[in-house]
Amino acid sequence: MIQRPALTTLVLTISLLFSSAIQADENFRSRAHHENSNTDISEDIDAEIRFGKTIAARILGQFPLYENEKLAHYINLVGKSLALYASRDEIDYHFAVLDADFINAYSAPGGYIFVTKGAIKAMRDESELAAVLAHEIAHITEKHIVKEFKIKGKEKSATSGISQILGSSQSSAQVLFTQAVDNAVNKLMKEGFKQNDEFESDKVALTLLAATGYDPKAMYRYLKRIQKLTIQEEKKSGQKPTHPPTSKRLKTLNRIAKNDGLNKLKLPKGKKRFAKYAIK
Amino acid sequence: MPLNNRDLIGKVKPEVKSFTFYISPSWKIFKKNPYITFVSLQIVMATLLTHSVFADEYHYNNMLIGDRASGLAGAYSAIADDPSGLFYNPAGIVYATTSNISANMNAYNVSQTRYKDVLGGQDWVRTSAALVPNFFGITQPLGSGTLGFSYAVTDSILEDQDQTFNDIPTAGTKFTMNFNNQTTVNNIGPSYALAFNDKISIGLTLYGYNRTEEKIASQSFDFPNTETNNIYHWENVYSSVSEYGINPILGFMITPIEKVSLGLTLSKIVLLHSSTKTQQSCATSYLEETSTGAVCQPNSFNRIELASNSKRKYPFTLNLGAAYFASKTLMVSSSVWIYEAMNLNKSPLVNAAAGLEYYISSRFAIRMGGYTNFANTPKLAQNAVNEFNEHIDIVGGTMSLSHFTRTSSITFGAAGTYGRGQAQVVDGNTKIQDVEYLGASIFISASNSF
Repeated sequence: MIQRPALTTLVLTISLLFSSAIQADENFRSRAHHENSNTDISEDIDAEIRFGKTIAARILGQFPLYENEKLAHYINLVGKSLALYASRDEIDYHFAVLDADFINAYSAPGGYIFVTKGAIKAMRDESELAAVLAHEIAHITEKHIVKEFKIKGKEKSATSGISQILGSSQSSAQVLFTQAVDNAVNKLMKEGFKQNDEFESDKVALTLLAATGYDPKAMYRYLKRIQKLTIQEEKKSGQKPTHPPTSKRLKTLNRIAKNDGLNKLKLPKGKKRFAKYAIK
Repeated sequence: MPLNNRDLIGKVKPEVKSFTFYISPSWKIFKKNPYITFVSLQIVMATLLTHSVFADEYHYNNMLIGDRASGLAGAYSAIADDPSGLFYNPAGIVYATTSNISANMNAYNVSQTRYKDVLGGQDWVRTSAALVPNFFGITQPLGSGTLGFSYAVTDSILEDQDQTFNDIPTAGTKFTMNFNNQTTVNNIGPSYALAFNDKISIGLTLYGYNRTEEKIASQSFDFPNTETNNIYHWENVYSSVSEYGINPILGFMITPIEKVSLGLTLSKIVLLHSSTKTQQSCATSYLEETSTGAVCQPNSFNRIELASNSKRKYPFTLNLGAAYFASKTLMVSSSVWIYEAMNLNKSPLVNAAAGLEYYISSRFAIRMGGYTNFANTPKLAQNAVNEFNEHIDIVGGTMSLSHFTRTSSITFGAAGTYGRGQAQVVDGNTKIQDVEYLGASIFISASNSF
C-alpha cells in the first residue's frame, strides 16, 4: 500500500511532468554540429529560389496572370523601388497581378510576389500599393516560409556528396521537396502565415515604406478600407482568414507608427500616378 | 546417423524430438571398441554442426543499429532524436532538430568462436562474416507529431566454412565437415511520436518482424585402417526456419530536469506464423550399435523430412535509459535492458550499455561506449549430459568518428567484442568445453536532412 506522503510525492511529480507551465530548456539537446546550419551560404539562396519558383508556378496554376502589361510594368517599378531599401539585396524580386477578384496578396520565397486584381481595385493611391508590396517583401526578407519549412541548400563538399550517395537520399529529397511545396502552397493560400509573422511583416513594411519615401500611414488606410470587404468575402467563400483580425493589425500598426515616430511623417501618396494604372 | 539439431529441439520440441539420436554410445563401449571412437566422433561433429554458435538465439543484443547509437554502444533510448531512435525509442524522434531526416548504415561483421579441446585435443573454430546494410530510417513531421519509417536488421549471420580434423589421435583418421548458415532478422515498419509537452513525449513503432534461417550441414568420414575396412559415413542436413510476426515498441521520453533525459521502452516480438522444415539424408556402412528406429540404417540410403508450425515465444523487454547533456560538446548516456525468462532454457537477463559523445569541433564528433551481451541461457550444470544450450557472456566496446556538414553527416566506426563461456558439444558425456568468442565490426553511416 502506498503511504500518503509517497502518494503525494508521486502525484506532484506526475503533475509537474505533465505541466507545461514550468518548462525545461529543450535547447540542451542541441549539439555542436547544429551550429553549422545557422550560417547562410550561397546554396541556401539557390534552394530558396528553387523552392519559391515552384510555389509561384503552383499559384499561377490556380490563378492566371492579369493581362495588362502597363500595370505589370508599373507594379514592378513600385515593387523594385521598395526592394532597393529591403534588407536582402541577393534576392531578385518579381511582381505580378493575378486575375482574381478577391482581395489578397501572396509572397513566395525567392522574391515572387503576387497581388490580386481585387486587391488593386480596392487601392486608392500608389502608397497603398507600396504598402501591400512592402508587407509581402517583408515576408521574404524575414524568411518566414524558409524558416518554417527549413529550406536549406546542400553544402557542396565531399562529405555531403558521399552521404547523399550512401544514404540514397536523392529520391527522398525530391519527394520531401514536393511535399514541402504542397504544404507551403497550402499555407499561403489557405492557412496563412503565423500571426507573429504577419505582425512582423507589418512592422518591417512600415519602415520600408517610409525609407522608400511613401506615406507609411497608407497601410493603415488600406487595411481599414478593406476590413469589411474581406470579412464579407470570407463569409461568402467560406474560407478561413489568412491574416490576423484586421482590428488587431490596425491597433498594432498605430502603436508601431507612434513608437517609431512614423505617424508624423508627411510623405507622398502618389495618387495621380496610381490613377493612370488603376483598375476601374 | 546421429545428427541432433539443437536449434530445432529448442523451437519445436514435440515434433522433432523423435529424430534426435539413435546412436548413443556409452563411454564404456567407447573404451573397449575402437570403432566406437568413430561413432563418438560422428556425434561430436553432428552436435557441433547444429549448435547456433554466432551470437544469435543465445543473446539478445547482437547488432548495434544507427550511426550515433552504435558509437554510443546502443545507450540511446534517452536520446533517440534521429531516425535510429525509431528503433531505440520512438518517443525521442519528436526532439529531432530538422524536419526531415534519412539515415542509413552499412556494417561489416566478423566473428570467431573457438570451442577448446573438442576432438583429439583440437579446437573447433567457427567463423562468420557478413556485410549488412542494417538500417534505413526516415522521419518527417505529420500533423502535430512526427512520422517515421525504418528498416532494421537486428541480427545477421553468414557462416560458410569447412574444417578438417587431421590425425585424430584415438581414431587415426580425419573428419571433413562443411557448414553453411544464413540467418537474418528483419524489422520494418512505421512509427509515430507525439510530444505531450516540453517534458514528455510518447512514440510507437510497429515493426513487422521476420526471421529467416537456412542451414546446411554436411560431413563425411572415412576410416580405412580398421578390422572391418572401408567404414564410411556421409550425412547431410538441411533446416530452414521462417518466422513472421510483429514487434511493437512503445516508448516514452521524459525530461525531469534540465540537461537530463530519461527514456523507457517496452517491446515484445509476437509471432503470427512460423514454419520449420528439416531434411536429413545419410548413408553409412557402420554396422554396430545401431538402435531401432534410426534414421541412418547401415548399407542403405536414408532420408527423413520433418516440418512444424509451432510458434516460439520471445521475451517481454523493458529498456531504461538516461542521458546527461553536460554541454553542446559533451554528453554521456546509459541504458539497461531487462528481459523476462521464457522457459527453462531462457533465463531472465539484464544487459547494459554506456556511451560518451564529445565534439572536437562543430564539424567532428567522437563517440565511444561499452556494452554487454550476456547469454540468455542458464549456466551449464556440471556432470550433466546433453545440455542443449551454450553459455557465453560477451562484452563489447565501440568507437566512431563523425564528420558533419550543414545538412549531412558521415560516420565511420568500429566495434570489438569478446566473450567467454562454456558449451557441451559432445553428447552422451559430461565433458564441458571452454569457449572463447571474438567479434569485430566496422560500419559506415550517412544521414541527410532536408
